[in-house]
Amino acid sequence: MATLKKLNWKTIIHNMIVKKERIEAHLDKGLPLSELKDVKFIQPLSLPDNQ
Amino acid sequence: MSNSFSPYPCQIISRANGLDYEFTTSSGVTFLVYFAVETDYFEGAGFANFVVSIGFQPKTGRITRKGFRVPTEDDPQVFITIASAIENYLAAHPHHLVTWVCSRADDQETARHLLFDRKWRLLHRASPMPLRKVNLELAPREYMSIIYRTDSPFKAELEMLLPEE
Repeated sequence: MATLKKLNWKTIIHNMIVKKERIEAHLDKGLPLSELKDVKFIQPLSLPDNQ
Repeated sequence: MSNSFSPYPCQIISRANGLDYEFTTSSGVTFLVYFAVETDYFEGAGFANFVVSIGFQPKTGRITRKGFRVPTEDDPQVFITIASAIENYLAAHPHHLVTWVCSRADDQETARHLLFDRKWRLLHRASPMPLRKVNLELAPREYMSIIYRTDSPFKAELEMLLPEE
């Protein structure tokens, strides 16, 4: 079972927003996500048939 | 995996680095979709990628007077495509939480938040998958939605992780 390391959801949300802003700033520069080495991404699954 | 319940009305045009993909609406507005793993807050065997954040970023589109891109006439296509991305993700990962966060201090983010809530209603209405969305606003202008499957075999564990609304 998963356990919470941190129970402070206020901090969790804030940290997620900070990370998201970093990702978006990176994308706005036209750079690929693969260059953000300290962020882990999951490959989007089940792309549609029209790919 | 089947996508039989996911209409994806937009044309998927590329898959960059395997970490994201782009879709383009019929009028040529392009969005990028990604899922970022939140590894910092949870631990336990089998839960390494337990929480993911979905992001969607317009790459082209009408630029408003305030300088940000918003979808316009393509709204329905955008909503359904991103909703399908969430639904397909949870179909493959029934034990995960998908989060959406935004800062309401940012006009562009506020616009995307409204977009997300409208997408959610579409998803919830159309999906055969039982989903629940929990909304949190624990700090001024900082907002989070958490979406999970209520038929998940890990429902009890998921709900133990949720903060009180």
